[in-house]
Amino acid sequence: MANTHSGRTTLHGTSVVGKRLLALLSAHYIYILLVVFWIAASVASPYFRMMSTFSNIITSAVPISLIGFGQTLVVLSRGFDLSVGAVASMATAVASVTMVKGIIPSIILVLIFAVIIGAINGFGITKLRIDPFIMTLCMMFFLTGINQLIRPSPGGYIPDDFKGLLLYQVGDFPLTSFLILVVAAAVGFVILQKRKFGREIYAIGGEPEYARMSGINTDQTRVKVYIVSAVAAALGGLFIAARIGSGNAEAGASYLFDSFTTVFMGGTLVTGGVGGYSGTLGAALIISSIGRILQFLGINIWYHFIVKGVLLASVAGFQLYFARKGRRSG
Amino acid sequence: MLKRISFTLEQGRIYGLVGENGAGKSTLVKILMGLFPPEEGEILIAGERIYIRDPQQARYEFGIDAVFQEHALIPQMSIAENVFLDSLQSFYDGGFINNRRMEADSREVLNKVGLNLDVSVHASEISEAEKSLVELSKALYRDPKILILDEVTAPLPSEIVHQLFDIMQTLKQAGKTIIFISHRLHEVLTICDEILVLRDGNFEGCIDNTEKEDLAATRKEVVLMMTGTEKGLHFPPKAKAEAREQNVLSLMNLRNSRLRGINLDVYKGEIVALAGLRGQGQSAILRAVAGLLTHVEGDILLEGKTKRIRNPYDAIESGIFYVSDRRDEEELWLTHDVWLNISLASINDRAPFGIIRMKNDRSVIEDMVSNLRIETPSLAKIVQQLSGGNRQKVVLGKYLLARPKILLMDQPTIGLDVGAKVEIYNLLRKLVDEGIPALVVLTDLEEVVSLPDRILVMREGVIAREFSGLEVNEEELVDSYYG
Repeated sequence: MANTHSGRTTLHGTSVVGKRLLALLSAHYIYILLVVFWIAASVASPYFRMMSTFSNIITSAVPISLIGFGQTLVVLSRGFDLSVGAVASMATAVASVTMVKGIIPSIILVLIFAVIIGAINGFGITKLRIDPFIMTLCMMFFLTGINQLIRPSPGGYIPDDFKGLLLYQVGDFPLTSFLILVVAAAVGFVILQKRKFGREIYAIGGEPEYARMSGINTDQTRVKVYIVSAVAAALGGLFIAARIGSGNAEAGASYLFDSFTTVFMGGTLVTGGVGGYSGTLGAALIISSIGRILQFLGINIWYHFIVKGVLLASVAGFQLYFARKGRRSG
Repeated sequence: MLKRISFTLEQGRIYGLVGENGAGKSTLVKILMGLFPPEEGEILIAGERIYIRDPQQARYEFGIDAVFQEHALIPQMSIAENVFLDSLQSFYDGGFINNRRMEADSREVLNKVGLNLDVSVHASEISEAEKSLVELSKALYRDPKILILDEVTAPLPSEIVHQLFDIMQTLKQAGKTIIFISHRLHEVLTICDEILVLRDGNFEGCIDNTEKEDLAATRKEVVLMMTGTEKGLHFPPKAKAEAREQNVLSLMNLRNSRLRGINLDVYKGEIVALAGLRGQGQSAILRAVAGLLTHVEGDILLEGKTKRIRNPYDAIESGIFYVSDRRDEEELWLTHDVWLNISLASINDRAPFGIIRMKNDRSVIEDMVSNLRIETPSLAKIVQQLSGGNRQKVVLGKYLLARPKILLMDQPTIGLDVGAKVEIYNLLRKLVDEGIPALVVLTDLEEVVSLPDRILVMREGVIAREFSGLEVNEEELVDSYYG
């Protein structure tokens, strides 16, 4: 039964090179963008070239990229998680109340809460068939209220040991933050590319019904995705707690939007099944760079919203262009 | 979908499963694979009652496997991953999926059906024939006791079909049971020992074909059982003679990815039907003329003048109106009232300087409602609360106000009950008599025979045969559907 593929000859020959190049470019454009960004900023402002700036960018990218980690998995599986910001806030609130009794037990408690939250999200979405948007929106409201009950006003106690460990620097180099980013990148690659769980996420996001027909337990995998999302958001929240040195029921709120911005800017498609974590990570670095650059150029910080909006829209536009081009040459 | 189906299959035999579009074949396959549970009834294997929870259980516990009609491959994943999608963990080396081993193993699985592919490419990049064979090799690899092949031959060239038949014979000798579903009756007659016939979700019977003698007689029997006879529908009389005077629409060498050169004419005073098996390009013709498809080549002439139709707006401006078969999704604002639904398409006519003259609008809509005999207590009735037949009349009313030159309708009576169908037939005939011809896609055999003045049978993107509506030989018609 050979020679059934007459229509494929175009795949070989010159167009393959072009296609590969396009694929390479569209897979790593975010890092090209990041380098261009950094070079331009260094030229524009001498302050930007300082190590402390780099340190600041890396440190503020940590919570964005951790929370974006979970959101990447969720979006890849054709879902949404609107509760990530509230989960991060929950982590700061719970930590600020319980770390008095011990750091490790407090972290474990935060993670247990996260697992429960993720499991409830997953249960509502798969078993009760509530739309992910609605289910996680409700979870966000619920947690926002709970957070206020746990920590009505910012404050509480975050031990110096905890802060010292997470914000540890060698000279101006933020060692812990850097390691967290490296580990997140490695874990993201392994889970998504090298583990059954990750491959199933792509299958579900690509064609949910076909995934089921192929014998994947789609409900189970989706529940796991929401648990991972909540746990990643809680880890991001713990880092935020260390940075601000206290608990705050609203500390995570702005990270919800950043999580979507990084995921989409990083090339993961809103329709699921296409994308990955490396893009999200690059986008997290870009987002945390924007704030610094504007600051050094002496531009009002509110402009960074405008920049983010314009940047995301352009990146999304380019993606569409590349996707169409890729399809036509294929 | 399915009403009452019972049959028994024996080991080491090949069964054909046939029926018209929508008879319930694919539904039955999905029930057997645990994709949706039956509401009633039971499934027994070797005398023991089983409950099939999901495809995983069907495959590994009960030994049932299927090649699905839709080729359930994930387009953005590699062929190798698609082959082993439900058992990726078996390729773990130190906790990581070993891609090289997976690709080597998948190559071996594909070789069993003689398929030689680059298994690292995405499933979206291979042809339909290749997809079909990938699915087949997947199923064969799991060595099922019961193998279901749902339209697996549809995209395959004939020499490969014969090789598939050889494989099926080998499996049969090894004591496997095969359920073979195909629209190509000659294939079913060639390979199957028994033929199970479904119609409208009912099991009609089983025809023995063990000897494979006198295939023509068996074929006749099968076709009769598949189509049967229904009663209760009354059709308006057809035009007395073929109307060939005033040409309204002509298509010249219309082509796109589905259509392979369509030439047709529609004249004033006639209903022309596009018939054939589902998905042969009938709807694509309507959608191409309505400006809903891109990359369409060829000429569209309206009343003898070439029209450039690049989008639905162009079509509507020219007087070409398309009525989708997805009435509730594409034609109606379900949560709005009758007034708005009928008015909106032609509102500019009644809104000088952009201001709607409500009184004028109201009286025009009221006239249309009484003209079409739409049963609604008032214009303020929400369309969702109307019956299917009245909804279809609302759709027609919407377009009639815009004074169409021709109506293109995709399955105009889909989802309607008998009474409503008859009303739509009468309405269509009345419109045609008043000068608006209709080009309609019909799937129900009785409608094809009794409604149109001309029948164009489509097969694989071309018009394969034309029948005059004045005298239709039903068997000849159905026969022409199949290649």
